Amino acid sequence: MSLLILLLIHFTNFWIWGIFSESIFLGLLISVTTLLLFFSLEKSKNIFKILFITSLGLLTLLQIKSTQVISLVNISNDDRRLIDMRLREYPPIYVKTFGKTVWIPAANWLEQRPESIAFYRLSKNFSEIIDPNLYFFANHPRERVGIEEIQKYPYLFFPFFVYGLFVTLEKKRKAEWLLSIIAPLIVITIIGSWNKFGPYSFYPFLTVTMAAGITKVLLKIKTFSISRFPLFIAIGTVPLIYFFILLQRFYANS
Amino acid sequence: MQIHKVEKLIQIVGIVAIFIFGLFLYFYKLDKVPSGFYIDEALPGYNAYSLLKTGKDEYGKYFPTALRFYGSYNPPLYTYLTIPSIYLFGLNVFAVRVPSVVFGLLSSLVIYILLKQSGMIKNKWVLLTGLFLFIICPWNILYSRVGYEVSLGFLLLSIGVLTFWLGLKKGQWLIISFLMFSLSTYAAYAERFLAPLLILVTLIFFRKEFFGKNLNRYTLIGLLLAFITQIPHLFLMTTPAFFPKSDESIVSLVTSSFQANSIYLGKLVFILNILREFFSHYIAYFSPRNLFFLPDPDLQRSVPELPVFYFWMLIPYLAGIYWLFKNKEKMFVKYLTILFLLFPIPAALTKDPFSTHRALPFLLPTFLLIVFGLDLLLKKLNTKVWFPILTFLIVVSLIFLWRGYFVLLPKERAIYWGSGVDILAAEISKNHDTLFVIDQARTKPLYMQLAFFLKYPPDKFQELRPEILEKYYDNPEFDSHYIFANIETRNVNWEKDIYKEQILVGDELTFGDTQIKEHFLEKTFTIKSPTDEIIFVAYKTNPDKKCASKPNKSIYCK
Repeated sequence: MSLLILLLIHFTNFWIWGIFSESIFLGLLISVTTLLLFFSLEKSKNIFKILFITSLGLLTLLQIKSTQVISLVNISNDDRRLIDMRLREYPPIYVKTFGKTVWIPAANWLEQRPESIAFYRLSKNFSEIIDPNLYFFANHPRERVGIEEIQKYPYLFFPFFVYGLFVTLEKKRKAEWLLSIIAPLIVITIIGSWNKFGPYSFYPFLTVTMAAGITKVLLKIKTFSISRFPLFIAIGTVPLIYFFILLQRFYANS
Repeated sequence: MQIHKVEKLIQIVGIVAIFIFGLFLYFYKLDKVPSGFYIDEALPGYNAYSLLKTGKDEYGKYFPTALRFYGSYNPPLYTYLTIPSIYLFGLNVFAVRVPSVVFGLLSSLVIYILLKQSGMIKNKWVLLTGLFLFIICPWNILYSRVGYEVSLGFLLLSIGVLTFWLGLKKGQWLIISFLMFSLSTYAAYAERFLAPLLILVTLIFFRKEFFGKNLNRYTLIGLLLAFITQIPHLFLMTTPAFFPKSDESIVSLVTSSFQANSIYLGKLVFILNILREFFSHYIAYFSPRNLFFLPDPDLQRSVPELPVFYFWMLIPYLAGIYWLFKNKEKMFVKYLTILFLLFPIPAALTKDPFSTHRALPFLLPTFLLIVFGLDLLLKKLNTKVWFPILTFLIVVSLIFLWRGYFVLLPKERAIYWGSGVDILAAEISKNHDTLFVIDQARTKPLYMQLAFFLKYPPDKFQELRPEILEKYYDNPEFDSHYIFANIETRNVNWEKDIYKEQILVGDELTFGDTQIKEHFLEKTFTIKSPTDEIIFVAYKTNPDKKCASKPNKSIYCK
């Protein structure tokens, strides 16, 4: 059943079809890597692990090759203008010790040093790829300037993705799954996400995790082992949705 | 026994030391940072002054249930609690911001007690660390150092949350809890929706406890008290004053961009669009990008380069979410989960993406989660390892706080904070024989800041709009045209204004070179921001020259 769910998610999301329409090879590679991740988590055969690592490596390499890499330290004219403005905003900072005045170049450290600039850019790249809105709402409501945001997964999958994260974290065998997060995370944090197809090296992790979440929910429903707490949440959600719809109607009429 | 006493003493000393640091951090340059005085601060400030002097607001209404202001009908509690501060410190920026600071610092104590009473913290140092981290939390600092009502709403809601939890063990607290939830609806907009929703959901989830033998009585007394205190709101609900911000909902956003082609399908798509819009906004409040890496997109309600939490808090945040999942059977965790899922709802119903102002209540469960996550992580590490790491991260956080809040904010955001209005008021006061026309074409209404800085007598101000008093709660339309002292606030009328001796005040775009030459305007003064941007520029008209320059004199020439 879990394989069926995985395939359903795989073939019913906008992202993979967008990729397939532009590059069949890339679409196939992503599909194979996703299946290999799934099998390496489900079966304990080493061949799946080796094939998955190779495939993920290739996918990550393609991600690097197809991304317009932006330097972590080079600065544009606009950056230069902002840095110069900010350098003027700092007050003079000094410490007086034994009659000597020691100046602390805080402005330079925080605004101009390549290490600081690299840190800010790494943070920005990192933040962009860990944003759930990027994957479920085409980055709405905070779309990025200069990047064409693309639809990826239907937003109804989001709760299953979160649940899938917990489910997979509980599993004993999850080394490949962790690798499928860490490797693309490091690479995209460094190179950025100026890519036509987005951070697609994350695709296997996202799809497999969603599949794990949906599978677990369906199993729980099948065996009636849902505990009272999530059941209450599920039941409570219905009036909640009703409440905000009512509120919306009230807003609209007032 | 001795060790226990020493530990207790350390905790008390720690709390006092952190609180003293908090006093310094929250009061340091309070009237200078944020630089300027925004209209949303001037409104409660001047109205508190007006209530202090006359017992009535700017329109002459005796202690209203919702203050009309400029058609926004704000909850009144913050303004009322600003009255003592205005009485003590006078009508100035400091006095308006002081109550907010007090509420922000008190909130930190509530958070500390809540963490302690949760019984879920394993490492005792985490309690003090939590208190300290809350004190230096950018989200709390930003809204505690400005004269906004949201800080009071947050405090009352936090007390409500704490006493609600305590009430599960000792019923009397429940009465205070429901009362606090109810009062919070008179403090801030978000709480108006959040408090009833929270009461409803918690009553459903904990119905066995609340309607059991032990708590039944207190639950009913608390609910009755909440209902009684809501009677003024029930009356207000029949007027537009209760929902003054309907145009800011996501429905209006979707409606403006939606064109239905078929009646039935169109309606369905419309509803789906609203759902998508709502969920995208809702999920954005949980997104690490918004919480730990990007500031609020509203430049007036954010600190440059400083998100609402420090970047490193992402790790305890994720650990905290995992901790929620692992401990989901425990009662406090259930309670925290409810808070975590409910609190962003009112903000997500509005069209602004990640509005930190509206979502301030969400600070409470998110911060608690971070602390619980931190506790979980520290449990796995040796003190020799975590102590230097945490110290380093706190030092880095303080550097970022200083950079964003005390260096960049007062300069880069001065223009958004109404900087320069005090200087303008001083110029107006200096030239009290000259009429000033303040152009309102692009700027936010300035009438209130000017009345504030000029300390214009409230009894005279109340005479300006007598028609509003008749239908006080049914009058959300705002007209920025005011005439008081030697000021007129409206758009410049280029046909008439140049034939009258007066000073025209506008921004950079109000006066073009051709207009200046053609109308013989004479520059009087320019007010600039700390980053050298022009905020106000003033030109004196020259009607004599203007009339003399034309062979066919205008009808406005004397």
